[in-house]
Amino acid sequence: MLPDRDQLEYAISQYLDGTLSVMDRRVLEERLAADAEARLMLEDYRRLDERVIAGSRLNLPINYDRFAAHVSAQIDNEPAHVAGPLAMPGMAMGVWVRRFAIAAGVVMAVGIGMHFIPQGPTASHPAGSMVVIGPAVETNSGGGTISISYGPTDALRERGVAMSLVDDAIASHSPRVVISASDQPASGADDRLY
Amino acid sequence: MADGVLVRRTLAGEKRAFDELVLRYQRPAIAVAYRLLGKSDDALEIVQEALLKSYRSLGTLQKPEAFAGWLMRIVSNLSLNFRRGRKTRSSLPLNDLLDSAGEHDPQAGGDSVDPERVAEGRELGARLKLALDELPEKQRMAIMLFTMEQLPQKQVAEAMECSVEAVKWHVFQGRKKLKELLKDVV
Repeated sequence: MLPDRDQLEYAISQYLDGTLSVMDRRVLEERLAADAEARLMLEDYRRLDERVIAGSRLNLPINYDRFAAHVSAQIDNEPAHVAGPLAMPGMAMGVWVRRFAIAAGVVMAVGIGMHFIPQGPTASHPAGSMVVIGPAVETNSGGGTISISYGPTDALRERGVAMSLVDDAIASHSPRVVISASDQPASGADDRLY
Repeated sequence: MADGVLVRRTLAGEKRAFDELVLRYQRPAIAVAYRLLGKSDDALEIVQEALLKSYRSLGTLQKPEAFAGWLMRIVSNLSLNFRRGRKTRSSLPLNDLLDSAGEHDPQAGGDSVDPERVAEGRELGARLKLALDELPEKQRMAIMLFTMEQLPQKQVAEAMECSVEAVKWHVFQGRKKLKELLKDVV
């Protein structure tokens, strides 16, 4: 689709240079076949190019061989390059190794930096404190239950994360480990003793 | 031998490899400088300086394969700086441009020379030179390097430090203006 004159002219300019895409070329050729004004425009640009090329031919009074010899003599007075990384194709690898080393250094620095940045409590990483008093001998008059549960955090469970996804979730969320003790014997089916 | 190989050989200390690059690109480089400066002795001076500069800073060339575009960029930058400096000393006289039109010869290299066609070519060359001077810098460079010197668009893009798409656009815009400026001779 070539809706306006500017686009048509631009397409014609590229058509003359042979740089129009196959698809656009086909569209333009269809337009040229049907549109006399477009053909005239193409002819104008073709003639302009011919004139520009004809008018730009230079026959400068220059002895190019002598000029090249003169430049060569001046280069001889310059110090020769010492083989650097780009001198040999194989040595160009050195550039990549250096870039990789710099990138690895940056990653390590950022990693170490992040390790030492104090992390505040978040929803998935709750912080808390625990006071341990003891050891002390406690008398027990009856049976008791120790319950250890391991699973998703409450937040994840509330969002209905299926148990099959828990392993994945644990990778990015703190798992919940709860150890509780009670002096009451187990009563529910879910309270299992280990 | 590819430009990239010659650049690498030069960087490995082989100066004669650079001679090959000089032989390969001196003509388009001189033509570009001449078109920007209008005098062949100025063009030679600038191209010589550009070649020496390119030899000295060859190690900074990121892509050895892009040597041609890089050299053309050095040539055009030096030419434009030279031209600006010259303009500050005294404005470029019109007859300076017209005199140098005598160096245009549409029959270059031909055995039989038709004086009428030579005169016509000189007239066209002079008009073209004036018209090119009217174009904005980027359009002029794109027309000179792509249409006149017939360098590949990729090299032109490297010389102009822009994309190939931008080169196409500058060529088109330059053509549009030239069509207007040269309508009585086209």
